[in-house]
Amino acid sequence: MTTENFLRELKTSQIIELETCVRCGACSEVCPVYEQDKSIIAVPALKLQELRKIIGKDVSIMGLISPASKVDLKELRKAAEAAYLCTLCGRCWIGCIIGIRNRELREVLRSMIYRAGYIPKPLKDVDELLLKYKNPYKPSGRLEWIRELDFQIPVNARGANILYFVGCTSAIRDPNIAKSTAYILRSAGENWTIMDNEWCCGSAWIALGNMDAAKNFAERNVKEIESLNVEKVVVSCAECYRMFKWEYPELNVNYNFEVLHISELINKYLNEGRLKIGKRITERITYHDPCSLSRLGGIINEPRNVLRQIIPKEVDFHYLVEMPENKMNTYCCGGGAFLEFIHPELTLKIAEHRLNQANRIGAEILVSSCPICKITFTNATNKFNKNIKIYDIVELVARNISTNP
Amino acid sequence: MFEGQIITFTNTMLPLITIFIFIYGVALRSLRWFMVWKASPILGGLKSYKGRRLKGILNSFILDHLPSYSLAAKKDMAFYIIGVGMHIVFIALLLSKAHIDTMLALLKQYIAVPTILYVPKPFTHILSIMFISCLTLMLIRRVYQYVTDKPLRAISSTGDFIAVPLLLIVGVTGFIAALSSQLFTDYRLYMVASHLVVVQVFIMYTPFSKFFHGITSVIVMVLSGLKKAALGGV
Repeated sequence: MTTENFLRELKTSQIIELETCVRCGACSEVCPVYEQDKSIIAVPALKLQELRKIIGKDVSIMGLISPASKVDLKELRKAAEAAYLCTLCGRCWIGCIIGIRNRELREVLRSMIYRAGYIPKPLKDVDELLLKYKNPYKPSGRLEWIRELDFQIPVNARGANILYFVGCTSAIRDPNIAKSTAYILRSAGENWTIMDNEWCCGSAWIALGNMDAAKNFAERNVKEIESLNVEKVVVSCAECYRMFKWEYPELNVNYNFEVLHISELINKYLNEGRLKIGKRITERITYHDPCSLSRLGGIINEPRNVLRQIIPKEVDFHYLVEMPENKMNTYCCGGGAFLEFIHPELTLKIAEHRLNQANRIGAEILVSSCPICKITFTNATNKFNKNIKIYDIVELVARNISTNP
Repeated sequence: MFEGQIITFTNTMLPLITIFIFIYGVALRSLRWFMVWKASPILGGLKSYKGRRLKGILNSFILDHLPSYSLAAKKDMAFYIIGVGMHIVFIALLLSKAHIDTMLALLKQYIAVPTILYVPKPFTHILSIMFISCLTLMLIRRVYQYVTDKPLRAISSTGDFIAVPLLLIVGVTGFIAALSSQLFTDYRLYMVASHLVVVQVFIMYTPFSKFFHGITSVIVMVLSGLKKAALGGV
């Protein structure tokens, strides 16, 4: 393999970031995985060190002379365990005093490990599923949720105002989110549609380390969406949002439609009066910012604005309470980047930590706006017998909107 | 005669060697960047950065360095304050009159030691003490974490145990040189000369060590600030 092949994901800015790390360890103070696991290989800066070691010979004068890669495969194999002991939540970036984007460097490391064929065993199954069925979960049943609805959904309708990109997790693992979103769009009287041939947005590929496949999936999804001639694409999954909004342009996949997260759209509907809240919730709610939506996506205020409209207005400070680590500084749920497939116990431990934060502020309901967060928190609540209800924001809105807006 | 040789060495020959080694080191580093540039010419999707850029960059340089109770170093606030404090004091010391005068003199004429004529103000001494204290605490932290098998043990390299003590020597010799203007004036030349030698060793070592982050971190902070601005986090 040539050097270019191994290093093609590494950008100049990233090699500068690699060389800027002063190994102060501030990232380990904020990393949820290290905080809960306490294993040294979870320390984010260590992964940078490993990447540095692996590419050290390639990024040198010898590398300039010879095109054959001198990537240290032995070191690469050793780094595999550490590289996948991470949820790609990006807290290390916010925690780094200099602002090194450690998460993106981890993606580069994963891409090298993937190319060398050293990905952890549980992820090999995910790899196969993605290749064969275009989703990381199961062979079929992506549209099963439609049959459970008591109304018709326009499928592949051309020229619709909005296309709802359901996402693998909402469609397969937690269809209630997809159903609630469909109900909201219908209640708002929206001219909308879904695709019957949706593929994974590509975030699963990035988490595995296959950047080529992520790009192929992105191109294919964009091509299919553009063929429907829709104005906007709405997603109910934080990962899908991050992919469409930020990763597609980074992968050089451009599109001619607007991308919105469902919380942005609901906020707009509520402001325009297209949706009206029927009964208000009188339980204490806390909002968990999904990493991919807030820190890595930039959507912070809209979900809170939506929640403020479904609780009693006069005393909203009492019913909507914030956990100590919120917005850009949000704590990870533990379910990101397939950590739950490799270390399920660790995922639950991270989720438990977050649930304890919610308990401490007296929250009775924890709301998120990402299906992965919801599934992870629900599993942790069941496992640790936590007295807190877990909802996705669309479920809460769908339950409380007035049927005659 | 002997004093003259010292001045000639520290202010004429050594700076030339220092500059040569520094440029050589920076060129080597740049070559590494160039190699990756060859492999991937796209700079981190810069075109997607459309937020309030200037505010993002300023935040990156100022606000992001303030201790945050909800995140950064929340469990190690002392280290956070000491680390950031050390950098601020270091910059303040670099901009002190003694240093500016020395650098200007070095640029204008090789044989000159203006610091000998300069009497530092007590504030400079306070800054020096703060700098030395912060560095000592940082070194103790690294050694402590190394001995007790904490994260720094895994991520520390040999260079880390050379860099901090070297900077500490720079600080200590500088402090002594400053003090020598008032306390032990007879040895002033030797004190100032030893500081100049250590400083130049520090400059020579910079491109080959973590000290280089003094240059690269500016680029990283700009990029990070742009990204945060694009995300709307500022």
